[in-house]
Amino acid sequence: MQHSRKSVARFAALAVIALAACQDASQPTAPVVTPQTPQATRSPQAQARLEALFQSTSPEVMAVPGTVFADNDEVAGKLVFGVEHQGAANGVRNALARRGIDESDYEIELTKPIEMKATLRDEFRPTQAGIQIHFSRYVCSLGFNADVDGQPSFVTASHCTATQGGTEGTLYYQPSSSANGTPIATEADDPLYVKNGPGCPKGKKCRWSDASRAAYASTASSSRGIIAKTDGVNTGSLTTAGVFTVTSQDNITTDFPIGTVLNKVGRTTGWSQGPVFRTCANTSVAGSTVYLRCQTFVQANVAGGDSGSGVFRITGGDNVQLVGILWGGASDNSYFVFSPLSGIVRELTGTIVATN
Amino acid sequence: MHPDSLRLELDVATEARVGSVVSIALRVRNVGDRPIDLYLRGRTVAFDVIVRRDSGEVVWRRLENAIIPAILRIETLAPNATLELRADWSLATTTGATVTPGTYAVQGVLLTEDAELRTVPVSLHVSGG
Repeated sequence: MQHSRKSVARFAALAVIALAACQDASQPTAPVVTPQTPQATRSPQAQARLEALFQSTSPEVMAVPGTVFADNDEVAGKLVFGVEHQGAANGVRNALARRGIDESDYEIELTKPIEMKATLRDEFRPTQAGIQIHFSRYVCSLGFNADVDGQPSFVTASHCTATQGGTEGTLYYQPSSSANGTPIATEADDPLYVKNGPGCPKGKKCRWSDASRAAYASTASSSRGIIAKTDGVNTGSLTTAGVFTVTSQDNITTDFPIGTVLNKVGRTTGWSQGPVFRTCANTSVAGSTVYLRCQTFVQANVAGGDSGSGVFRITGGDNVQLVGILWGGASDNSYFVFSPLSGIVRELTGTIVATN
Repeated sequence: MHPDSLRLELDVATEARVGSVVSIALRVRNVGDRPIDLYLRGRTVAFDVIVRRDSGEVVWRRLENAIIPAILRIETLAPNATLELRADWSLATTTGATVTPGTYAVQGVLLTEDAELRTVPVSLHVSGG
């Protein structure tokens, strides 16, 4: 993700505090009402002079750290520079003084930094859990980053590989191969599904988890121990607003108590939360012969593309405990099904460390 | 996706006898002049078929209680290209009981990333075996 601050044209509706250059710069002042002189009453020469000042000064001014925008405000008849803080205001003032610009030709306004709003479907570097991944002709979600025997990796669903079961070196892109054609990771571990094993119904192929691991490319940066957080739970919002921190992982539980409130963040329906209503259920997967043992059902929203999402329990504030990987749900999207970490660590090779 | 450029139709027999199996084809056609990327639910495309009595009561759903992988499959449909999805209905209700003779409405539903796209219901008359 590139949270970048950009110089943009000023929005008239911005709530800002104007700072007159002659005032004590240490104290924000009350808003100054700028006389709204109609542009038509200003001579073409005056307008041309202001535009020339704007063109000649704005590159230097916007190089001052903490500047937000530069504007030739034709209505006010002044240059207007938006800054984040007093230090930046002083820097702008000094830059303009060096160029001999009169204080009556500009204003400096304190304003909030402008940030790009990222969504779970945008490009994130370093990567984090909950964002979109793409491979062959499918889209899934990144479950969680982890070191597996020291190798930077991510875990997602087993069916989020080119071939479900078996390790064939699926290449992953983030957010998609069309947006960024450099693979971020390669499938490294997807155990085979086993037929005729103990407890596996005739005609089915079985595992304890729908999970796989991909190893990061040396060029791809990743953040272990964080999950993208969106700006609302059960709203469907995909706009990110901070992160959850993975402080622990539950590698043991197979039977989650009914009513346990769990969460997931995925690229299609964002952050959803709800109670466990079925626990350690052996589950057939529609459209396949796959049979997954001891899966957990959660009454929370899901949709296509959320496969692979990490499932977690909030332990306090934004601290969470990782508990599994989401892989499926009802056709009406009313509940999701996940593989507990207990089944994942049982099947994937190596020691999985997913905490911060 | 451009739903206005998509035409969904359900191909199903208009008559059937109790004890037979009805073949159903859901076809999705790009009637526009540009390729369309369809984001479809499932590794194998998940689509539903809903059968209702005249009263509106649902007697069978292909995806009733099914648990579907929450993955999106991207299918690019060229202009005039058609994606065909096939299913069979054994004239049984969701609970497994044989349906009674009568007239039923059959509707296809395509699960996409953004919405469920539904066909116009097709009438099927079931006669006694």
